[in-house]
Amino acid sequence: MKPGVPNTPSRKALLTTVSSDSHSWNLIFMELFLAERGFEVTNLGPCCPTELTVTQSQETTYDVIVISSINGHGVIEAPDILNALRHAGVTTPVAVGGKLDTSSDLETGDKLAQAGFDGVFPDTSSTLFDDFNIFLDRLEACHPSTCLGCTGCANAAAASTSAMGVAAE
Amino acid sequence: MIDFNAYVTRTSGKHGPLVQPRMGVGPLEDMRDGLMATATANPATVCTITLDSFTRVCAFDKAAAALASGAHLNGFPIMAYPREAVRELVSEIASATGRPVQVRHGSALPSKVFQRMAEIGMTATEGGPVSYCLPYSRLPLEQAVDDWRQGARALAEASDISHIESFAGCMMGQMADPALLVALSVLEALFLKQCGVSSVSVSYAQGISPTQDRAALRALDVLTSHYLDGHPFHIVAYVFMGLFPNTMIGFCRITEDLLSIAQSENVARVIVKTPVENRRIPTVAENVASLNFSHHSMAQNTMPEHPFDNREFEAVLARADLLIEQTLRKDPDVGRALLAAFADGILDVPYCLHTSNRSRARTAIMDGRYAPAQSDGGSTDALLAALKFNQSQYDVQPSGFI
Repeated sequence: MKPGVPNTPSRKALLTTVSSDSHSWNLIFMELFLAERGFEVTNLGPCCPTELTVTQSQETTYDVIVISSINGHGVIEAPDILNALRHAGVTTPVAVGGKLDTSSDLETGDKLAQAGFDGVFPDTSSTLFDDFNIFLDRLEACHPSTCLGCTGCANAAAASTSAMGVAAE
Repeated sequence: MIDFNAYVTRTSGKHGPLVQPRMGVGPLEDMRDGLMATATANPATVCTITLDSFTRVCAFDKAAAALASGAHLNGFPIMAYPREAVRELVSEIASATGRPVQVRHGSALPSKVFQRMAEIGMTATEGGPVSYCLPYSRLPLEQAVDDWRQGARALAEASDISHIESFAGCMMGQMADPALLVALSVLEALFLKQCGVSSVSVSYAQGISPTQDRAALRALDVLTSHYLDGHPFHIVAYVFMGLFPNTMIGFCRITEDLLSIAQSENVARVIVKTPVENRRIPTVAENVASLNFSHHSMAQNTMPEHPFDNREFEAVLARADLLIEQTLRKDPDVGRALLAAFADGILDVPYCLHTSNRSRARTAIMDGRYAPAQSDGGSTDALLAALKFNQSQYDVQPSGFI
């Protein structure tokens, strides 16, 4: 919806949230955070319908999709967005972060990782922004010859083929 | 039914600013307990029924289903109950305690809820076509203006004591130029007057400087009196709506700063927060404790005093008046004038991502006050420091001993 800070961006990020979350400041902050790390950011804004996240990610090729949510419904609604994206054939890595449940349950992160997210950054972790930075750096490093086999990564298939090749030798 | 504006004006004349919580629960009995606890907490309270977020987005079937399943709703599902049951609830509070009840809802499309209020015989609510659309909804502003017009008219036609408070003093919770908040509050009040609403209130949320807030509250009073031209109104102030202090001492200090200037200025009603605000929805007991703390603080007269700064007042007044004037010049119909002013960027809410808002405006912190800016410094460190400004001002280390 709004362009990020111009920083001769070479990478594109889609920033979105779950449909019930009307908060804005987390999205405003994350837009700036991603722009500072060289991303051109499409910020879809609060209360984003899942269909809009899907159609936007089909229209433009993004390097990463970031779901930021702080109303406590992330653990309920974010997996539905991921499923809708994968069902629509979008293979872009998807990260989810913020205040993702109503009870600060330490297992929420694991639940979301099991749901298939490529990166999960709950506010219960004191290192979430460091972890998120590492996640973003790894995205940049990721191409077929170095892919670590991240879920959903377009290079994963090639990487696993080459890994099998290595194993066969 | 009790005339909300008359009650607030009369009672605040006697006790000083009245205190009001945000409070809403699903079960009717629990809602009654919350209203009763608020009404009997101290002589200066006003009661609130906050609606749940399904009702806010007109998902009335989901609200009813959640209520039936026993799930915890984050507010009162007014449409899920028979009219008679809600009418009895409000009448009971009125006859037992003499206190009025305001419905708070957060809806960009309130006409169905207002229609129901009218059928029940309830007369007082809040919000506004801009203040409940731009920050929280994806609906085009035009649609919100149309539905608000329809809803406000329905409420006004049903009663000659209808009252709606503009929520525009709280746009985005923080980082807004006080002059913009004042201007939007006056403009929404004019919109509501045009819809035929009997009396209105205009709002202003605490920022980061008590001196600037005092100046803004004075400007709000002067401009509302001028533009409403004799239409009955009162002023409501909100304890800070942004990233809230984390500690008990932080809660006490920030609340007392607002109460102190509310007493000094012409504020009739204050919406208070609780120390748990950052973490969860407060319980009834926590809300009551906060209402009593606030009432007690004002009665004791031991709060810090903040001087009136005439230069600051003149500055806020001039900026706000210009915004109002430029907007009203667009169209004699205030709803259409608001749409045109947002389309032209005369009105622009800083940081608001809504597509009907230009979002070119930014806010800077200069000398401990909010100031309109073209850029905010543009770094996450600067933005975070600005958002956490009140935490750093009011929380005293060691933190977290609440």
